[in-house]
Amino acid sequence: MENLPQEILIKIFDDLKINDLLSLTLVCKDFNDIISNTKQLVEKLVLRFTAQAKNHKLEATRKYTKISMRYSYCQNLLQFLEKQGEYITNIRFMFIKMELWTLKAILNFCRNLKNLTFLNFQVDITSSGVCEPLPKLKLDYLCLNCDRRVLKLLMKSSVKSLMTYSVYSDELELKLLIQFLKNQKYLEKLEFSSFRQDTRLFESDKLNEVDFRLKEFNLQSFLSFPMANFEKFLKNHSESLERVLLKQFHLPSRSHAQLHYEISELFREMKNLKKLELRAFHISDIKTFHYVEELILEEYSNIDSKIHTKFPNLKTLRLFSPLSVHESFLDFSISSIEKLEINYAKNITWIFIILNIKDTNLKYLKIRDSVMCDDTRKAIENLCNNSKNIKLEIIQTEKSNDDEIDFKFQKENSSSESSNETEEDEGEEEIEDEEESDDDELTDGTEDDELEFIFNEDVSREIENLENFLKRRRME
Amino acid sequence: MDIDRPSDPQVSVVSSDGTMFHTTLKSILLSGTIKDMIEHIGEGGVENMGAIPLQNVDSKTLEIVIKWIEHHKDNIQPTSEEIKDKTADFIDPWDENFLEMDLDKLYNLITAANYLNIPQLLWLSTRKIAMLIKNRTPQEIRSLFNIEDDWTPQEIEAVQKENQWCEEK
Repeated sequence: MENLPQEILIKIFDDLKINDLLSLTLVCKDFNDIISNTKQLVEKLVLRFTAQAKNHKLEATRKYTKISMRYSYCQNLLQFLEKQGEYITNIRFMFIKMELWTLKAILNFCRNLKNLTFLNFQVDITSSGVCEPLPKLKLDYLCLNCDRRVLKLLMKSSVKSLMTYSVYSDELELKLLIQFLKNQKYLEKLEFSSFRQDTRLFESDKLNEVDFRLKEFNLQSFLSFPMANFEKFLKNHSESLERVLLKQFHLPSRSHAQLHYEISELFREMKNLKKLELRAFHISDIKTFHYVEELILEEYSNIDSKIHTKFPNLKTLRLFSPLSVHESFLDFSISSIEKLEINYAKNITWIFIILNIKDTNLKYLKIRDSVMCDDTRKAIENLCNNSKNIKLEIIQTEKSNDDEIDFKFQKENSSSESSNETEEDEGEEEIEDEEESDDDELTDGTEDDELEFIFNEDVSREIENLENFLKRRRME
Repeated sequence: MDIDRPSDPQVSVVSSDGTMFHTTLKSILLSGTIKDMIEHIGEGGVENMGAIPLQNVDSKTLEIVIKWIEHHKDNIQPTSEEIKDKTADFIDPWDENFLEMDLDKLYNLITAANYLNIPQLLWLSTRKIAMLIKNRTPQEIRSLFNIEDDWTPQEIEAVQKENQWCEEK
């Protein structure tokens, strides 16, 4: 193998994860040289400081680019960064408490930092000497899942993508965040998860005059949804927004309906909006979404069945725990869809409609943890026989034992008005059930212990787990 | 030159050791290198074009390459960029089976796929080697690939010590 050209060896090594790369460095000097001196390979080696690190000195021969600090860091961190800080592009701080001046020193040494993550980071704010000079970083990504007081250090830095998420945020933290956002010129992506009332950030008219234009906006709210001025905030970015995610983890109240309507109307007009991901959001009373190519709907998000909401250019449709999707929606949107995913659907008799469309463009079909009737199964078989290039994934999907579902579907298919209404009524009942279980979840979630648990791991993964947990509960 | 014509004309290639192979235009165009050559021939070239000499590929390897390109001639080939971007990808069982060969053949195949610029075949064959390396100790890797250990105990200790900072536990 050592006779293969170096570029090929790099290609091979690039397919491997960190521990295998480390094994390779021990095989022979050549391999160690290749791995230690090839940028794309060294980038895979993350320096990991854990609780034991504080007793040891790091002697580094490689030009590491990534550091992760969990609980602690090595004895000679600042000396190391003084020498090699310019190569560092990524730092993750996790569950670590630090004096502000140490953090400032680290950030000043790592002047080429691109990705900065704070998870459960605590600053010792009692120490002084925080003022000038502040580091001027040009970050691609900043994850701020901690006390937002660290923003004091980042006021002169710019960021392209900001993710922030905080359990307790007081007035000062919100003020700092607003100030930080107002300083931004290049921000393109904003991800905001809220567990308390801090979605009021978007109700602040201070954010109406900002220099940046968002391409991507994600809002996950577990307790409150911004009301006043929120559509104004979105409107400022309506020319630039390409992807929007709005997820609410509590049932929208009646007062949300009007807001949802206004926001939907905004979405419809956004010419660059390609991807729309919604949870507990009602698109209703809307005519045609010309621009959306990817639509992801989760839990209670429903397309109104009476009004023909159309997505004529939809390429990807992903549904999670759908209640019912009306055939009028499918009729108008289905011919363009290339990728269809159905997850956690109790009853997917309606997929039948999709699969029986003759001139389908479907290239990928995934059905996961759903209940299928025989007709659906047959339709899938037919579809696969008719078009060779379709990729099919069916995961843990059970056969329905309930003959009534089939029967009901037959009725529905004959487009009788009354059967459609039955279907809707059932849907509403389900919403009420879900509201209860969701409330339970949130009440649990606001207990301090529970929150500790939620924040003790990688945040996005936790959110995903929580969602999956909720989904599983739905399924049961 | 119309390379998308429905009929698929015969093309010949000659290996480094002088063996001639016949295959079809559609198949051979999977090779970026040959595609470039053919595109420069100009009008009316393909039928009258002589056998294409491939000085860097021996007959045993060329036979394997032709088997692969003929099997995949109707599939849409991903570009190098697309291959770079993909994560855990689905491997066609046919390919999985196809790659069951001894290491020397595999090395030759990799070199040929690289020279002929067939990104998907290169990716598959290098990935095959990577999968062989996966989860093995340094000593296992050495004996599997017949690599000589040129480290002194002191040197290797230093590398081990530095590696400890990166280990994923």
